Amino acid sequence: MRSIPAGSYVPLYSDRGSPPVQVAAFRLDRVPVTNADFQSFLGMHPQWRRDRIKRLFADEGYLAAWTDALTPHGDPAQPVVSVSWFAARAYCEAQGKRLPLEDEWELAASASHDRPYARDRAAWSATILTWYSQRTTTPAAVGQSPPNYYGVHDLHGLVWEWVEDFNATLYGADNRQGGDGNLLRFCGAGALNAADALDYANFMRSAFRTSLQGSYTTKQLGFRCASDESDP
Amino acid sequence: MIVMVISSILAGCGAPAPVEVVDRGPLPADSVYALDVALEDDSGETVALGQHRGHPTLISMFYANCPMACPTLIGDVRALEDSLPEAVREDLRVLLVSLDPERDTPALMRGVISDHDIDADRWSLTRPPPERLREIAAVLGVRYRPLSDGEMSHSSIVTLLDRDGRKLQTIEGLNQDASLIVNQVLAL
Repeated sequence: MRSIPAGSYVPLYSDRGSPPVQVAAFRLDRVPVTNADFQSFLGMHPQWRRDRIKRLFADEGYLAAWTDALTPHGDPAQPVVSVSWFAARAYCEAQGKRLPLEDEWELAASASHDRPYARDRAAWSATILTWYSQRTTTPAAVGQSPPNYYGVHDLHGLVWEWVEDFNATLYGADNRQGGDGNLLRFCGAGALNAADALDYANFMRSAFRTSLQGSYTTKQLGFRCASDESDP
Repeated sequence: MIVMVISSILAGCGAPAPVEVVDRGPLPADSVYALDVALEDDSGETVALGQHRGHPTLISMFYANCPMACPTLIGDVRALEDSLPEAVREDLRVLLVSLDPERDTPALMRGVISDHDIDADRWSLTRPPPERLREIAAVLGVRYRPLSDGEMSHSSIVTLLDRDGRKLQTIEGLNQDASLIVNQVLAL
């Protein structure tokens, strides 16, 4: 794992005018969880095998491409994909870790290879957006691309990743909508942070998270684990 | 279906009382009740997410400090209930799970029950262990984010579960679509 020092960033969801979010120091896996990693986990925790998992916790696409319940299809070093949030969470818990919070993930993902904060660099954003527009092929093995400023690989360019609080992202349909739901349904749009207008990639990730449910799986969605800096 | 009658000691009164339990067999794999989590209810008792198994149940998330939409949600669910024939309503249960378990104490939840004249025999207000909150929200499709002012932004989703905890109907914002749920309840 890599240590990510405490930092701050202005999230997309922030209330207008509110100060940047402070993120405490934490640790993040150097690379996404691989097929081989997940295979070992299933051997130890068979209730998460695709033939045993409760439908409540994963949809029909869960590990659907695997050759059988315990054999990944393709390169063992590829990131595991088609896993639900519940399964990703269980994996991290089994390692004594947890999923990263959205703020943590986004903070670590703000770094380019040579600077901790690259969101304001148009060229950097453009590179990520190019990847977003191309994600059609089978992901490569993890750790092949250069590490970022913190020594973390593949936050961009390989697969999308689950975060613990994926379901904290909501626009419209706010609880405080009161009598006329439609009137305030898009109130959240006013809270989008204009200062990060350059960071369209962040907006795309946020929109993607909004579309997720905990049991969903997709062929481009994997995960990595995190832990508190204070953990052993 | 096997019907068993077992004895149970009712908390606080010390006298055994017969409680009818229907053995419904193993839970369906898509049952919300498959999430094994212990909740604390408004009387401080520990209850399971599936405590109302055997009854059609409306489940939603709330928080007691919520100044506006939660009373709206509770009022909407009550209005929905009122539109049901009495026999159907008597069979229905309501389970509300707190989004703010650190502040929503049993005492505060009892306050909500009395303020809203809630039928405490059929409704339970509960709070989960804080570390299980995201899972419950994920199972119910509820999205929430604590705000810097101490309030909570969350989606107002009410889900009708069948007698085994399977989702039958989910509606977001009760005002428009309550008839969908009413029709489903009536069809059960």
